[in-house]
Formats: sequence, structure tokens, C-alpha cells
Amino acid sequence: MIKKGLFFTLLLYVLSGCSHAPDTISTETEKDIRDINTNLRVVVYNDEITDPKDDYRSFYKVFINKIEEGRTTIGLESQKKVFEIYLSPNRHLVHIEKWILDEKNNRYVKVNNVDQPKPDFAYVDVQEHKILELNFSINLSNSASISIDYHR
Amino acid sequence: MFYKLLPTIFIITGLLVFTFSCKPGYDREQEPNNTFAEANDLTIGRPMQGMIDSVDDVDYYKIFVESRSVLSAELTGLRGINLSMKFFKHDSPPVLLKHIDDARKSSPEFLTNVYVEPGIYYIKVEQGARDPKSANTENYYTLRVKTRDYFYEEKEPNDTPEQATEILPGHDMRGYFSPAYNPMNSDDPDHPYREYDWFKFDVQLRHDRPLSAEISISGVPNIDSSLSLFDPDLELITRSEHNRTGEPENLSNVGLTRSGTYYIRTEAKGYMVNYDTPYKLSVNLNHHNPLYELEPNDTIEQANPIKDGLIYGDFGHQQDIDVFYYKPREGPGFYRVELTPSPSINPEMRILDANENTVAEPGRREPGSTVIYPNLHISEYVYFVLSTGLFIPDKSSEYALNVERVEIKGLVDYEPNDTRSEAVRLEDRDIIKGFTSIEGDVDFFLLEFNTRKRIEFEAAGGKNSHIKVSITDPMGYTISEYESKEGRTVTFTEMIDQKGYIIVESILEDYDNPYIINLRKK
Repeated sequence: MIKKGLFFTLLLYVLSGCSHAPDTISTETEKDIRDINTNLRVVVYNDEITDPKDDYRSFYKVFINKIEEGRTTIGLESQKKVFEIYLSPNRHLVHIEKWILDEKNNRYVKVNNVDQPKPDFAYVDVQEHKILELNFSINLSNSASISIDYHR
Repeated sequence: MFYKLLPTIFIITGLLVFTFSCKPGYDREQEPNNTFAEANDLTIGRPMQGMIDSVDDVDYYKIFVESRSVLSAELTGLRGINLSMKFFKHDSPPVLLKHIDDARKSSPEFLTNVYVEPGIYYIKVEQGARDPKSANTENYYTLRVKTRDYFYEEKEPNDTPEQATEILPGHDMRGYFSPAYNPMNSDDPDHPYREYDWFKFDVQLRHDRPLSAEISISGVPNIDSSLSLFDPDLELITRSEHNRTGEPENLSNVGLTRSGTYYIRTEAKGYMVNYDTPYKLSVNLNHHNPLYELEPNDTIEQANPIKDGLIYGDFGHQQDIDVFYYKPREGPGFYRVELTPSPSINPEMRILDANENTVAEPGRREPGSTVIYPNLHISEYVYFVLSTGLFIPDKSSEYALNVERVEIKGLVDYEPNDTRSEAVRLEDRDIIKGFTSIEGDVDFFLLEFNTRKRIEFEAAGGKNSHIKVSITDPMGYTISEYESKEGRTVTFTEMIDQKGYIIVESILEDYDNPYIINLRKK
């Protein structure tokens, strides 16, 4: 009887111990990240625009390691425009290219190089189990302040 | 001595006999001849001289006609006077048959052809109503009347439907665009004083099976004519009016759908006249072949049915419009439309849906070139409205209109989809097939997702085409565009922010091969 009680106690201990294994959280986070296909989030916005006349609809093409991978969402320059992607853990070169709406021709056009943000690139270290947020905060003279945050 | 003088005596005697026996080559009026009762006898073929010796003078002449014939009269001009003449048939009172007055001073008047039967007729010479009356006591007018045998031609006066000359289908009939004015037609609200020639023919349908009529009138120098056909109630069926001088007019494939007497009217526009050259009027009747159009089919209400996807037609004149409707036996689906014209016309086609909204207007092409519309989607039935820009009266203006079902899986190019608001919703489709339906065709397709999607597009135009494929933001502004020439595949990836449009623009059309766009979510 005592032997049976000890067996169930040990079994309960083993089961409860498994459910609290320290790696479990990490594994689920990685799964979440893979599910949403994101471990790099590029955010671009201009935080100095106050005149609506200067606030064009725009987006940014995003190049990862010199290959075009997509574009940000579309929004006013003053709004945050986001691009998300899942990358292998490594150091990556992220380059952005600004396009604005030419309302006369009903199309988006790439802005001249002199009007592109400076700098328009950043090297980032994508780490396992983390979401890296790369912020390009651009001012009126097209200078970009770059910041990087990691989120678990 | 006597014998020596004998030749001289003969010559003198002969001259005297000739002198006293020779009458002048004309007759001269004997006044008073101011009423029918006082009319001077006029010998057919012998000129008659007369004079308007007072302002109110009128001269009557009596003509005896011995056999059925066609009579003509010529009245020379009289300086400073606007002469006219009236032609009467003897009766009690006499009946006015024709009034000839060109409303001009000093000019001659011609009565080209009036049909007469044995009996007494009168010609009254008087002054026209247009100018103030005057006298001329110095000069004579000359009135010449001739006759010739009647042989199957118009019977003037045939100026009204009641006076219409009967024409036998299959037998050409002659007539004249003469005189220029018909003063007896002063009440015509549209064309006062216009000279009309009316003809009629009888139709008896068997088992109510319609007949198809071909009616034509030859061109006459200096005459811009028109040709009209009226039903037994004298309602206009159709009219040919080329607005060209010296050109023929014709009415083709005109449907005669009930028994009765039909009427034809010919006329010269602008008071044009030709006394010398007759026109030839032809009427031919055939049983209607359902493969051919049946005029009048100028309106939606008169549209001819296309029975088995094929119909032949003919533009009878420059302004002719032919309307057809097609209700496919196979039911709703995509259909290819081909309009094949003869080399001398360049037809235009407008396609209307059952609500009479325009679906498409394939552009006019070179004369003789087939007009193709490769992807007409028919839900219930459609109308085809055909016209031609080029028309050469004495050359063929026939065409064939063919409608054939198209079986292409994935074809979603429901026209009209030329604007954002008309865009075809793609829903979960992963393949788009469409056609460059007309020159410069633009097709809009709408993509909608619950979330932002990254899509790989693989686009290829038809092998003979050149197309541009654009992807837009949710508002329809182009984000990126790619071109495909000669069927080459172009692959690209684009983000769709929950909603976006695919725009396919035609740079070079291919009416035979569809463009294909494959969509793959990444």
C-alpha cells in the first residue's frame, strides 16, 4: 500500500515537474514567432511633420541583405509604417527605400536619392527567441535616427 | 415658141403650187382660248405658238389621244414671264393631273412623262404664281407635245399613294425624277412642293412565312435620291438615303411580315431634276432565310434573333443600323463574337446587356477586317447594334456575325471591368484568365484578405500580346507594375494590405489567347 502511494506521488512529481520545465516558455515564444512569421519588425515614421501639406502617403521598400523582401504598410509620413519578416538568427543588413504617392499619376514613385533618409540602412543582429524592432525616426531634413529594441 | 417656154411655165407653176400649198411648220393659237370650252385643238407632234398678250391671258389647248401612251410637253420660255402649264384630263369638270412650274422667269417648262389613255386632255398655259404677272406682245411661246408608246414604266401622275403605279416584283420599272417642283404638293409639312413617285406591289404570305424584299433604284446624274418602303397601313418601314448625287439607293433584306399592298416612294432631294435619264426601280421578293437579317431591325424593339450563333446581314445604306439579339441555348457563360465584313465596309459593334446597358464597343477596324470580341459574358441575352462608317453604294456591304461559346477554365474577365468600381472580385481564386478584349482594354480585379498578405504573382500575356500588370494599394494607387510581351512570364511579389487591385492594361491585343495570372500566397 505504501509502495503504491509512493509510486503515484513520484509520478505526480514527475508530471508536475515536466510542466514547469524552464525551456517551455522559450519554445512557445519561438513557435509564436514562427507562426506569425516575424522576428524582425522595421518601423519607419517622420516625427517632425506638422504641416499636412508635407505629409504624403508613402511606404518604404525593404531590402534585406540587398534583396528586396517587401514593403512597409502604407500611411502618411507622420504615421508608423511597419514591415515584418522572419529571419534566421544572424547579422543582417536592412536597407529602406522611400516611395511616395504621385496623386497626379495615381501611382507611387521612388523619391530621389537626395531625399531618401540618411542613413537608409542598419546592421542588425537577429537573435533566437527574440523579436527585433528596428526604428527609423526621420526628421524634416531626412535625417534618420535609428534605434533597436528586442522583445521577447 | 410655146414649146420653148414650156420649162419656164412648169417652173413658175410649180413654184406657185408650192407657195400656196405650203403651210408653216407650226400652228398658232386663235384667241379667244381662255376657257376649256374655247380650247384650241393641238396636234400631237406639231408645235403651237401662243402669246401672253395681256396680264390675265391664259391659253387652253385640247389634245386628242388615240391610244395608251406616254405624253410629254415642252413649253419654251418667254422673256420676262414666269410661264407654267397645267395638264388636265377631260371630265366634268376637267381633272388636273399635273401642274408644271419651275417658279422661274424666262425659263422653259417640261412635262417629261404623263401616262394617257385614249381620250381628250387639256393643257393650260398661264403665268406662275410666284412672280407678278405681266404681258409680252412681242414674242411667242412654243408648245410642243409628243407621245410615245407606253411600255411598263411609271404612270404619272403617281404623286400620291392613291395614284401609285403597280410594279411587278422581278420586273424592273422606269421612272423620271421630274418635274423639279410639284405645286400640287404644297401641303407636305416636311418637303413642300416635292415631287414624289409612288409605286405599289401586292404580297400574299403563305402560312405567315415572311418574305424578304430587295428594292433598289439606280443612280441618276445630278440627282440625290432617296427610296422608302411603306407597309399596307402606309407606315414607313425603312428608308435608304445615301446623301450622294448620282448614286443608287437600295433596301436589302426588308422583312414583309404580313399580306397586303406595300408602297414604295422615290424622290429627288433639293428640287433636283433630270428630264433625260430615267431611273430603274427593282423589286425582288424571296422567302426569308432565318440565317439572314430581316429589315427593319434598326432598333432594340425590332432586333432580329440570332438562332444558331450565326447571322448574315447587309448595310442597305450609310445610316443603316442593324440590331440583333442572342439568347444562347447553352445558357450563361463566355462567348466569342466575330463580325466579319466584306472588304468595302468597316463595321462598328456595340454590345448591350439585357438591361440595354453597353457592355462593350469593340473599336472600328480597317475595312474588311474582322471585329472580334473574345470574352462576352452572357447571363441571359445580349443585343448587338451594328453600323458602318464606310459605305460604297455599288459595292457589297454584307457581313457575318458569329457568336460561339468559349470554354476556358479560370476565365473571370467579366466585362465591363474597366474601372475600380467595376473590378471583378477574385475571392479565393488563385488563377486569373482574361482577354485583351478591345484596343487599349483595361481590366480591374479586386483582391481582398482578412490580413496583410504577401503574394507572388506569375503573369503572362497571350502569345501575340503586350500587357502591363499593375498592383495597387487599397485605394487603387499603383504600387508596382510589370510588362509581359509575346507570352513571356513575369514573376513578382507584392504585399496586399488586406485589399488591392490587379490592373491588366493592353498595349498590344491578342484576341485569340488569354492572359494568365497565377497567385501564390507566401
